[in-house]
Amino acid sequence: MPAASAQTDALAARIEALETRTAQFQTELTETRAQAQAEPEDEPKEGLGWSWDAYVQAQYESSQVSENQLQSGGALINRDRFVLRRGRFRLDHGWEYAALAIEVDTNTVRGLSIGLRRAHALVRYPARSKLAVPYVALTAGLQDQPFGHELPFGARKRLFAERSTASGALFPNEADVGASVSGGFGVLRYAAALLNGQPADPYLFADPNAGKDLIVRVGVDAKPASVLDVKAGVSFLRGRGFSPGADATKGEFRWIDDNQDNSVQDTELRPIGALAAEPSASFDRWGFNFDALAALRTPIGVSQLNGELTLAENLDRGLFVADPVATNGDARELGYYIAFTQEITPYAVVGFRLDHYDGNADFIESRRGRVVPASRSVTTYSPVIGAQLPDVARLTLQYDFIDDALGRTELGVPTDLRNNQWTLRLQVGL
Amino acid sequence: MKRALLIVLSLLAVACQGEPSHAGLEEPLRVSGGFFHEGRLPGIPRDEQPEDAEELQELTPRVPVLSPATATIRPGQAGVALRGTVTEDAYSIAVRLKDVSSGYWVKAVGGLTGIPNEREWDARLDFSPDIEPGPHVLEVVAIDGDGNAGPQTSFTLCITRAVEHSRNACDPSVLPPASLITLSWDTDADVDLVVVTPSGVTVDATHPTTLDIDSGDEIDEDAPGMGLLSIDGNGACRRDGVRRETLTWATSPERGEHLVYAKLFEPCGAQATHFKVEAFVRTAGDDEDSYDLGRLAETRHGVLLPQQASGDADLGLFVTTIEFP
Repeated sequence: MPAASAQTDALAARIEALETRTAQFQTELTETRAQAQAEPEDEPKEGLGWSWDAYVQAQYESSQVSENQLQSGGALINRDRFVLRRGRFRLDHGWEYAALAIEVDTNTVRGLSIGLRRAHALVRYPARSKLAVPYVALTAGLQDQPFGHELPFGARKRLFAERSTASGALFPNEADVGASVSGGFGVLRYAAALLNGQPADPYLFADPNAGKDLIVRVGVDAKPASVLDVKAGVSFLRGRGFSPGADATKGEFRWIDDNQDNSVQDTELRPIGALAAEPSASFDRWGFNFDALAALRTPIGVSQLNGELTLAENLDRGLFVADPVATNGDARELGYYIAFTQEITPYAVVGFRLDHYDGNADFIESRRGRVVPASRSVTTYSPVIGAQLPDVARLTLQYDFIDDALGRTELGVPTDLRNNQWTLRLQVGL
Repeated sequence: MKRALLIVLSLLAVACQGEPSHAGLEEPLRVSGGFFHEGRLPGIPRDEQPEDAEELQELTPRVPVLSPATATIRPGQAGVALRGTVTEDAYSIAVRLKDVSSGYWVKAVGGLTGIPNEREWDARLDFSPDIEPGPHVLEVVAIDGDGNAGPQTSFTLCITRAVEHSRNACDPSVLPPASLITLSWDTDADVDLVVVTPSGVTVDATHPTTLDIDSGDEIDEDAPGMGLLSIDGNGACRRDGVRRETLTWATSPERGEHLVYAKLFEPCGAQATHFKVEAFVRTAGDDEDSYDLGRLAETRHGVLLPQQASGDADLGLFVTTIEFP
């Protein structure tokens, strides 16, 4: 009997030990899930120690507007070409309370160009979990602009070849120089950045006025279920744009060949008086954005649906370039897109994006001597298919059906221009 | 499956729609601010229009007034004003050069004029440097709001030769220059034509005549055998777009050998400048009292490199010898 009792005690001890271990596993699992929930997929990678990253996007692109000619000024009209779209190398180092990142970008979009994509210093108060977003991080330098989802998301992970038309028009460059505060608590995310507000030529990353652009984004990043990710946020921008003045000019005589006979007559010599310098002026601009994303892991792969809506005023710096001082009227911009991507096994992916941008909702033009409203909207339908080696290589083919009002009918009325394009891109990264 | 096919067909339909984009830069005629359409000019051609003037007046939309600023055009001339009116129902005008344009340019018309039931329109025409010299017919037609085009209206322009700007290319009775030597090149470099006459006078941008002007006498442009150099092309690297210098004799030049040089005064950033030298003389035309311009010698080609830039130091690269009859 003592032997039986000892055996029972031993079994009871083993059961207790197993229960303890099971409880430990459950606790660890819960913590791991919480950490995974707290860490967004697109978070910067300033971890601890050294890390580096590199990728190349090389492509062949073709457009229906391509011609073997040069624009006035020498710009190429040919769009049927091989392009190194992005070749980027990023180096990071992180300590517990600080980090730095430098990323170099090279491309051949307008001839060989080498420049900085990011260079920032960061100090932070980390969350309890080392994998989680810090409670607060102060970043200074050339950095992402926290406006919406698509802009700071990163070109490497995006399936579509380029950002949506609205994003490209309002933010011609992904980065700008300034300082920001960002972080998260649980599922909440926040960011507030004070930037120069000139992410475009001719003052790229410089600042011709004292006014800075304030960008604020507040959002959530949650995992309601182990197979479902949900993100959403609202962003707001307020800043001051710049309208350059003009230099003073000297007086001069000018010959205008009124009768086109290539000979000078007295009446064709026109005195043009000296002109005083025209002062530069600044103007207000703002933007509002709502972004949402849902990603569902299914047996065939990840299904992702996301979209953004942007309302703005005088914020176009890349396409129609708003200048209310020159046009004597504000330009109201509207942009949105909705995109769906579907992985089919880890090795194939398809997607479709509907993208709309109206560069000036109040645009007018003169027709037959009368002023009438006109459209400056561009709608793009972009199906894309791709094959991939997960996290290493991806080959994609994207076709952009572009519906705009840049052509003219025989009546001289704006109509869609035949300017569709396609891109075959190979991306390989470390 | 049917749904997928429907989506694919819809996308293909979207891909095929829209106005074809064509900047029209290869066209002999370009219209500033106009939109180029390929194909035949719409409207009723001249030879299909009713002969009766009253019947013609009833056809609309029409172009009652067509008024170019000049009827004589140099190849490469830009900004030639073309103005006119259209009947009130017109929305746009279409313009082309008959027989040489591969399509036509569309430009919207303006508001009503002081003339009853007529709208105004205007266009700025640019002519290609490669356009064939001779008479060319400019055709204009008005288009109404339903896309219907009316009777075509035309005007005959004279495109002169690139090397001389008399109307001889269009009217053989007009006297062209007696002789000329011309140097043309393909970059924005400052290149000079230098010619040494049989009597030893050096003609260049600083001494632009075959006369001995160092004596201080005034230049008599009508002096027999006098040659006169055209502009200093791209002088001091000021880009003029002409890229040509021509020594022209209104009357027969001095007999004997003329030594021709191409001098790269300043490369102005150009890597290699390709040039050619041509010589022409006045010849008899096909009819009595008619004239033509014939090539005298074989065209000479060459290339100038930046290290050959010599400023005023020498005569430049010797190209050829030309002997006028």
